[in-house]
Amino acid sequence: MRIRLARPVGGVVLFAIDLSAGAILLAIDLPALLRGEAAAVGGAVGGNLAVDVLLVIFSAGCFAGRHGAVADAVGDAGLLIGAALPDGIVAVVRLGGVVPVVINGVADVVLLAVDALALLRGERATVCCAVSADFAVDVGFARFEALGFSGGELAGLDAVGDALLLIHAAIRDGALGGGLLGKGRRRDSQGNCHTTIPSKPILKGITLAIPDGEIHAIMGPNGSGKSTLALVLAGREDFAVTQGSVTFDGAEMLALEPEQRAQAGIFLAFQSPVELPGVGNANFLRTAVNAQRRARGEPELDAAQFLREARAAAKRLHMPDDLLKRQVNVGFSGGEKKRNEILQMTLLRPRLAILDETDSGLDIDALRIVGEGVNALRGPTFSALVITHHQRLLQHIVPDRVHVLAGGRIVKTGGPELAEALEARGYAQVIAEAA
Amino acid sequence: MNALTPALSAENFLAHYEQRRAALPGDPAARDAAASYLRAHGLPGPRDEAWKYTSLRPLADFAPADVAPAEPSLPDLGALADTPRLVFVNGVLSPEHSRLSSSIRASLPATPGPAADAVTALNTLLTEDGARIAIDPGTDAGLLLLIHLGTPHASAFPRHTISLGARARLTLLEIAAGTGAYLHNAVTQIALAEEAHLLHARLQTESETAYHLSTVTADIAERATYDSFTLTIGAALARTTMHASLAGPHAHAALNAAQRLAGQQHADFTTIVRHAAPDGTSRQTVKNVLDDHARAVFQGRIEVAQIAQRTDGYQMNQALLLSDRAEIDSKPELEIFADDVKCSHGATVGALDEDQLFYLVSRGIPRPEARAILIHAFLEDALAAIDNDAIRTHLTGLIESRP
Repeated sequence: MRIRLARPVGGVVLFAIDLSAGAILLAIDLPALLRGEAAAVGGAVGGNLAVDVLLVIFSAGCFAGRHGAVADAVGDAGLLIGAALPDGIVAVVRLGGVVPVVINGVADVVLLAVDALALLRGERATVCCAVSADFAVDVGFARFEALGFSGGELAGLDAVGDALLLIHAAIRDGALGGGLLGKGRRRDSQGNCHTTIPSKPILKGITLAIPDGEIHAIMGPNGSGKSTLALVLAGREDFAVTQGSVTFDGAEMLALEPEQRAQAGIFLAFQSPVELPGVGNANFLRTAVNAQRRARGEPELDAAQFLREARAAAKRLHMPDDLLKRQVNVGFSGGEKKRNEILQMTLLRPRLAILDETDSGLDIDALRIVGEGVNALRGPTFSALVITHHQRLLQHIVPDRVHVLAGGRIVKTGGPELAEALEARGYAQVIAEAA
Repeated sequence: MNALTPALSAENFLAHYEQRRAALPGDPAARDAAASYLRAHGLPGPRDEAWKYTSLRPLADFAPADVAPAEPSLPDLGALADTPRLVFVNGVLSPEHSRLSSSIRASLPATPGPAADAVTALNTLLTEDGARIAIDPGTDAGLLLLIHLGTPHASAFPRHTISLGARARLTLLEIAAGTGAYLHNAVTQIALAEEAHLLHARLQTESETAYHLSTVTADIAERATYDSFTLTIGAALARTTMHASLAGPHAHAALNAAQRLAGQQHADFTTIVRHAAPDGTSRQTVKNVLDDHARAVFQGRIEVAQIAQRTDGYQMNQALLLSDRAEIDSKPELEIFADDVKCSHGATVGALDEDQLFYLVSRGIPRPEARAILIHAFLEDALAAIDNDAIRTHLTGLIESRP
């Protein structure tokens, strides 16, 4: 058994695995897939090293999201190859960012699973490879690092190549052929979380005070640290806070778990809300509301009470009726996801809401509805931090103060007129003036 | 397996058989044949392909012995407490615990059948009793519980047969439970006539030190449906082997399962689906949630005979590993001789998604509760396939009560 080659040709990644009794080669134009374009897939199968090549073209045009595009497009490619093989069986499944490709030939089975998205983010990824003869499948994992790649699409391509070379080496050294065979092991989630980019400071000292009842906006160019600030405040553990403190209502927040911060009254409306397949939206919302009520020593709401309240709030936000019955964010449009965040905020009644680019992806009507949702909560015990690129959300939610974040620091603070100045003259000029 | 393959000894069971032989009911010929099989082959060892991932070594060291009659209490049946039921204690029917309705005829004992493998041979060797459930053609027998309770140091070998006449219907919930260390080795033979429909939910909540072996054989005639779901929660060592044979055209079999394991538990779910007639459909969704050092095995074999054109087979095995030390072994096998076939299979393994967890805790939901929500969500599509509200609610409640 040997792996023959794995090399990028233009934008096409060639996966080539050569077994003693047969060969399967799969080439997918990954970068094209990620651009959502039609991509060519070449598949070659052979018995006893006589290789036949077939080429199928498929369109990724009908796929909605970036993650879905890769997995589903690869899936369709696999199915097409499967249809082309007289006795072939192909299945493709997806979990998180992992794209396993399973090809079942007459005498051999090859399975390749590459965390393509992690690769393209320049992170470590796990590659799962299964090979077999006579339908007995053994699964092995090879873990590799994308170290040394500068990032972007080329990193992904080379990393895939390296993964195969590592699998090759593992087979040669007997690791995949012996000890690792038959074991499916948990991905090292900590290991996977490490980026290969050396850690660098993102926020470099931010002093910000939001008095009760005030709404502050943070504006800044891409990469200025806005979302990092939001996640640090909400308690995401991926970031190390090296110094400073966050006090809320007189209590230190940095020592608290994310759920404790939420229970204290902090709410983060996510920039990209995750999907929770298998979790009903109404159940999720009620669980969250009751968890917070419990933490505050208040009686929990029963299902009927909660549903009445949730339906009324959803109606005010002009959300479709079935949105409460669906699975959390699954199949929601971009605008529906953002409105679902505002619905959660409305029901949880936080004392500090952090809105991380809630305006992105919203049309004019949705923008107004979101603005109304936030304004409805305004009062002496509600404050908010509105993070945005654009001034247009701030026409609906008029802030008390506007801060400009650049390079991990607040470089300028002013009233609502500052947002208009930014819109008129651009970040570069305003930041240059402040320096 | 060839003669040189080292196997595990079945000597303890054979000695026990010699002691009990005169007291065992029915025709001894099948038992003697099973004894010969076990003397020749022993228990399967790791060299046996079908037992590559599951070791029966603890069983070879298990000393079967007669135990005093016991009257264990029934598990909490919740809303199913008033449902008709057959209750076996240590392999023998307990009339006191049982409650039968007139629509179900159950006659006992079952006679042992021939043995094709060591686990069935063990059952044949020592079986004393079993349910024989026969549903008349055209009858809808409703819901029936078949419960087995094990007590410390017991060894139980119930042999059940279930047959449904043409167009008959039955919903059967099988529950295996008990206390202490015992062996429960059940064999269930099912025959479904034309257009019969059996919903077979199987709930394994054996004690955490028990050994559980179960073998189910289902013969499915034309347009009949065998719809099964197996939930594995208990036992130190468990192996379930299910054979579904789609013998008539347009037959349907579903062999769905969920395994929720922790500690040092080992559970093996092995299926063999034989498509022996055209236009059959088979579905297998097998989900595993594994914590601590737990280990799960899924072996799924689909055979499509040359005559079985237009077969539609689907098999999916997924594992959620909650610990670095948990392990899943997945072995799909497809053997296809027909040329107009749609068969797909896939396997995934992963950990809880940190982004999803953070989303939940950022809403004030405590981390353990957030984990439970995601675990339940992972199992949801397997549970959703159970086509009976009362049973699905009962099983869902049991999963949610696990830490």
